[in-house]
Amino acid sequence: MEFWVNQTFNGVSYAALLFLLGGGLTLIFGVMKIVNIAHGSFYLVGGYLGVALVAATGNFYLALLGAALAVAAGGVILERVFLRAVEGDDLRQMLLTMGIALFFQDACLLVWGGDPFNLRGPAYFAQSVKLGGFTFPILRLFMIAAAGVLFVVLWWFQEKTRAGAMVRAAIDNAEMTEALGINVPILKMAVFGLGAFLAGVAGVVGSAFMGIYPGLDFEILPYAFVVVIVGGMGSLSGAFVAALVLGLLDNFGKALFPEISYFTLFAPMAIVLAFRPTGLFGRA
Amino acid sequence: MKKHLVLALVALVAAVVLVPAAPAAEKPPIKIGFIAPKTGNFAQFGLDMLNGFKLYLSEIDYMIAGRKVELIEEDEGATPANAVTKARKLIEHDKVQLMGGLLMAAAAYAVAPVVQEAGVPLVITVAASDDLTQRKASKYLARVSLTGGEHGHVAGDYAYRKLGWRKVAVIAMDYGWGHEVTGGFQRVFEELGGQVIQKIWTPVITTDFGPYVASLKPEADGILDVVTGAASIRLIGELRKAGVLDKKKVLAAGTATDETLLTALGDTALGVLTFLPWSQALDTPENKRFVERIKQVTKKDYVGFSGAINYGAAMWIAEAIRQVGGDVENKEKFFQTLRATEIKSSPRGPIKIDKYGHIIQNIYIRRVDKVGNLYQNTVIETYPSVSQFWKYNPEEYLKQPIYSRDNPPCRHC
Repeated sequence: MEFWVNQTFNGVSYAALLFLLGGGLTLIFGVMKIVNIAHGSFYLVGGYLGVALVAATGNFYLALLGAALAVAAGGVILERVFLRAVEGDDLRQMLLTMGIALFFQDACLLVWGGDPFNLRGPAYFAQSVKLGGFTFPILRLFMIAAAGVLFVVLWWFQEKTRAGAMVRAAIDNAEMTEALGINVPILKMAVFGLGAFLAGVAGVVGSAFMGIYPGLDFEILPYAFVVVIVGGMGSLSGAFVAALVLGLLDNFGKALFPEISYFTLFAPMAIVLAFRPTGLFGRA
Repeated sequence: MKKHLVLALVALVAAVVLVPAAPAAEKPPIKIGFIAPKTGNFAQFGLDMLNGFKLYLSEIDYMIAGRKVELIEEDEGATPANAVTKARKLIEHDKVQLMGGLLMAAAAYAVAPVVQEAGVPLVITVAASDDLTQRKASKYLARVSLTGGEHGHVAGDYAYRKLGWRKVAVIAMDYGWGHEVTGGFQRVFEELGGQVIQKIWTPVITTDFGPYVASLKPEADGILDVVTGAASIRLIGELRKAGVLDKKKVLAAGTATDETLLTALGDTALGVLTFLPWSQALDTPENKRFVERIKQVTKKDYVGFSGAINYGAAMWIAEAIRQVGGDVENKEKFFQTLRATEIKSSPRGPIKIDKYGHIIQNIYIRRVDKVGNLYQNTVIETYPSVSQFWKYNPEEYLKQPIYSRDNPPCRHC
């Protein structure tokens, strides 16, 4: 019993991290049709800024907000200055994000050096709560809460607000949306910023969970892509469900059959791609 | 006329006899090539290696046996092919008389045949894969770093005799270092009478150790941890949060609590036991002096082990060059002297080389403690002069296959 409760909890908390990683990427992918290789760099920069801000302010939540906003601002600038210049050319856009990723990889190495950091959250992050005889680490609870709140807010935004409706329209047909008098370029910039914001949040939360060091940007990138591909490009609910399914599969796969741990995350992706190339919630 | 000739001859002879220093000073510098990562994910590690190596050279003003030393640095990069290109450049273009460095085992395996062919001595200062100085040993290669198997042997002995463990669960990274430390541990531990009851191989990139930690067998007396680098922060953090570290001891390969990780590990690692040929807290005059000096270079509180062992490597190479009187052009003699060179004290302790080219050195059992505001790896036990073959006969040892995922097999899992 303890095993199943613990592992389910672990799986759900890991899913929360996966959602934070993939959520921003799927938004960007949906609206802009960009394969954003720099998503991992947003995560990395967010994490490092988080470490620096925690050291400067001593407040984790302030650092979380500050770092995520800074990354969002950076994202907006990158979109406006670089990506828009090659709009409509998928390959160039992808190569450009690759270049941005390499730039930030070395920039971070230059600024923060190569030794790993661990983001120090509030003291209670290291503690656990006992509930009905089971132990739940607070950091993992926080990850679940953060992902849950962000999902609900974003879902509400996308499904229930006028701006969200514009975003959905742009995902389905950007040209038609523009023809209706909606300013799609501004929309794209905002969505890119929002995606970068989520990556920044993931960076700060992720750094508290698993530390931060050079090379992490490209380590986490495949995870973000798996979530987007399984969930369906551009679908927030898809990313949420995909993260949950993948988190649990990965966790139980590793715990029950550690010898196949290389496949637990990527085999489901291959299967989904084979039977539903557009992902669980994706539309062709 | 004759008189003039005699005078001229006398003058010539006098010039040769009286100014003997002049031709010696014209000897070209000794060229040492050094390959270490300067870009990419291991750039910091490479920088630490170079800092250690260069610290010693700067202490002797880059002069050995009256000859200037020229150090030519090359970037190891991320692939073995790149390291080979750099090695060829150092040999063919720079004409180095000795090559040092190398972090990644794959790069070392790829570079070894190249230097072998050119007859240039190669001193590996980090790459740890067993077979570089065992089944695939090559003549011109010497290694002054460490091997996985050698460390596993020590850990197996310590776990059985000193910690009194009888049943052990292993969690190790699924690559050479993990396999070799685990294999060495299992062989010695099980020959003494212990049992390895679980082996969990984790992918090198593991974001969440939660599921592994939760599935560790509860009946294990202790846990062997062979997870390295930033992943170690996650694993030890998870072991702490899951309460495992409060109930059981964890014995880890020393890179898991390398000084460069101690800040990030923080309180989570307190009490973790590790094994490595060095510790910043090693209480010897040589080491204290080294730590003092390297801190002036790096401006950091914590000094990684790669700096320390590379400093020792430079000391040892310089000693060998002194013993041949700077005559590194005589390759055969230089290399034989190099392998025979012993130094009594370096930051890590004495250094000498076995006939297969690997270092015989002290291995220290350390414990993570907090002293004041800083963490340290307190040395609690010393295994002196450890051979890579432990107490086994080298020839018989080498007849067995290299330690791997399933060698030795897990009989008690």
